Amino acid sequence: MEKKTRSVHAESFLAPIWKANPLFVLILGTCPALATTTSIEAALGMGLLFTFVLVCSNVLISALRKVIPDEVHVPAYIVIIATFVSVVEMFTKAYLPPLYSSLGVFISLLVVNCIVLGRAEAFANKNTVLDSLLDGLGNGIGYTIALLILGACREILGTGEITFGSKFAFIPLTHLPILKGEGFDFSMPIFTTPAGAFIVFGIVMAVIAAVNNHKADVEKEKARQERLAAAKAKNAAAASAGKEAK
Amino acid sequence: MNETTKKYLLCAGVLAGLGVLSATVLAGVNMLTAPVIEANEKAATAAAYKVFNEKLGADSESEEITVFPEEMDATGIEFYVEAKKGDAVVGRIFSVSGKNSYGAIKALIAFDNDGKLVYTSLLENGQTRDGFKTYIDGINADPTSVGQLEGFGATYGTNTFYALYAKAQAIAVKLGGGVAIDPAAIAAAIYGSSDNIETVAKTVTDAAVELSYYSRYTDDSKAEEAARIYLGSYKENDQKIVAAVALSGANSFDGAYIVSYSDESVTTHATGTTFAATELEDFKADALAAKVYDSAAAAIAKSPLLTLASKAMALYPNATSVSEVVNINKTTDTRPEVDAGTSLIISSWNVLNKDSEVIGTVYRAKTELKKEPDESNNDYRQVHGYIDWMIGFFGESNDNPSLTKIYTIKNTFTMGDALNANFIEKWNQSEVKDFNTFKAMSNDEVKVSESGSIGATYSTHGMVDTLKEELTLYVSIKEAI
Repeated sequence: MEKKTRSVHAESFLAPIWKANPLFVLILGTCPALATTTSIEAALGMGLLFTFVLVCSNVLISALRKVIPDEVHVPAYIVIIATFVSVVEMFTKAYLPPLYSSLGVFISLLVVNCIVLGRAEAFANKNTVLDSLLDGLGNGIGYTIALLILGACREILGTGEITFGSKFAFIPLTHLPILKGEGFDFSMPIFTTPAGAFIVFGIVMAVIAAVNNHKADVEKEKARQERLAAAKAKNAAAASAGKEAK
Repeated sequence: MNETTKKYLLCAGVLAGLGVLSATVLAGVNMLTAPVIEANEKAATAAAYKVFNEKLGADSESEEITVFPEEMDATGIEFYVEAKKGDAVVGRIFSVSGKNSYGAIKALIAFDNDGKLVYTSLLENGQTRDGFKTYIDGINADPTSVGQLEGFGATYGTNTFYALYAKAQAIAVKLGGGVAIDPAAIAAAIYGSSDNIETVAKTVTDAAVELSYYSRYTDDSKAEEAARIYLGSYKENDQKIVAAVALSGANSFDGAYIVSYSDESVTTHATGTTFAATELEDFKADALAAKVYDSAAAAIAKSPLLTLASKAMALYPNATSVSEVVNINKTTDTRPEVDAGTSLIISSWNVLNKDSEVIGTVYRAKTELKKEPDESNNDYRQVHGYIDWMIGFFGESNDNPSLTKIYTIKNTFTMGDALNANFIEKWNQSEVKDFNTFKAMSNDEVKVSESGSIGATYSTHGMVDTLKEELTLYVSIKEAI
């Protein structure tokens, strides 16, 4: 029983990171993902804010799930999510002004983010606080990783370098040239534009789909081999039983 | 209390409780963060003022001033500060804010006492895309780009910024002791009406004169730009002119207006003088005014009006508007096959002067030809194609009316270049322009061909045939009137 509960908790946490990644597998939250991933730092900032809002709203909604009547559960969730979004917005504006300027309206739009609302509706209001916390954390980390992949591809391809410290003022400003240097510059600015976001998103989706398909094929083959082996064993057992009967 | 009432009360209670909880949390966070946010903003503004003062050559700035001249539109302008060098005010820094497509924009814009843009800085941009910031940076690199909005994907924010910029500039000019520019009043002085002036100006410039322009439309839909009012300022030998020149084409002067002249004692023109369409030479008699005119003419030649109505007006020296387009035939030629020498008169415009009197009629026609070689008669000439062209009629005579220059919309004739060089250009340069001269010139052109030059006999005669059809229409309309 103890082992089963642990595996359920682990599933709540781990599944959204890869198997049920909200961005790359469920295709949710694409608008902020395309708009805010012009750099790794912006993507990380968005991911962290998103994770905070998702974890806090999941926990609170789960804790209040027996108190909030069904008739008003959507407005109640909106109030809860909007409160946490406003909190992160104020803190970001106060302590990370460059990140705030960079993310702009997309912080406020977290209120209506389909992943946040979706997890509240589909998971937090049916599960325990611990499971909701793990679910929020898993989805937050999964979404952040997805944003980081997009942000890294776009920043490297679009600017030819990675910049640290432009959004998080406490990090010293550092430029790491990758696709450019003295006498050469292979950066392609299109990748920092919305068109570039779609291109990178499409390519990453294609790679993930290929990996998942390959994995599914391998598992299917493995299952087939197992079934075949079982059938063979069964036949062998039947034959041996027949011999013995004779 | 029944179950339904209990349910309602529970719902209300839960929502109210959540509301109170949310308000408490937000109030607490606001108390924590508001002073930090305010301090950040003050630090950003102070840092910005430092840069602005350097650009303006100032060493300090006044407190924020929120009182604006009464008659000026200050919507969106939060305050301004006076940049000072010692006690002297050397310019003003305006704090402006407006709505962008996704959120607010907030900027500081500095002008000198003449209202010239010195520097601008974006404080807040509620839009993630970098295009708008690039635009602001571009203005500082080249202040004349302030009105050039197209082509970088932040049009909404740029238009908002430009509207705020124009208001702040008007106030800066007024406060700096200059003459406030009122495009509507200028349009009224030149055209007798201030209707349909596009208030968002575009900026152009040349080496000598700083220019911006306002588009003028003759219909409410603003579908066709009919003319432009170029506003120029030029300074030379301690004299400075600010003048408006209205043009509907590079060579079509609609009028002018002297907004201000810094030293009236040395000029014949006083501030507020209006020049009619026929008074171009009077206007250009002043060297500074001539400079503004030349720059405006060069600017409109570089970026001409694109509408046919404006082309129609540009054919007359004193046209200020056109009546509605009369579709005589069709807007496009859908005839299956065209016989040699046929023409399609597509439309016409009645051209009006400042007093709304009809001063002429412009026709647009398509003259189309298809002539195959006739080898049995040793005639190897072949003509295919058409010319889509405009010409204006005016004057009292019905038999031999005066004509305007030709404006060619499209010329696809096989010998189109020859037609243009041997006939149309000669016609446009001819001093005498009437119906009989047109016909005579077309015959002259035939002679040129016979002497061995590359001619355009058929197409020229085709244009004469079109002209004859137009004359019939012109006379019938005149007689009907």
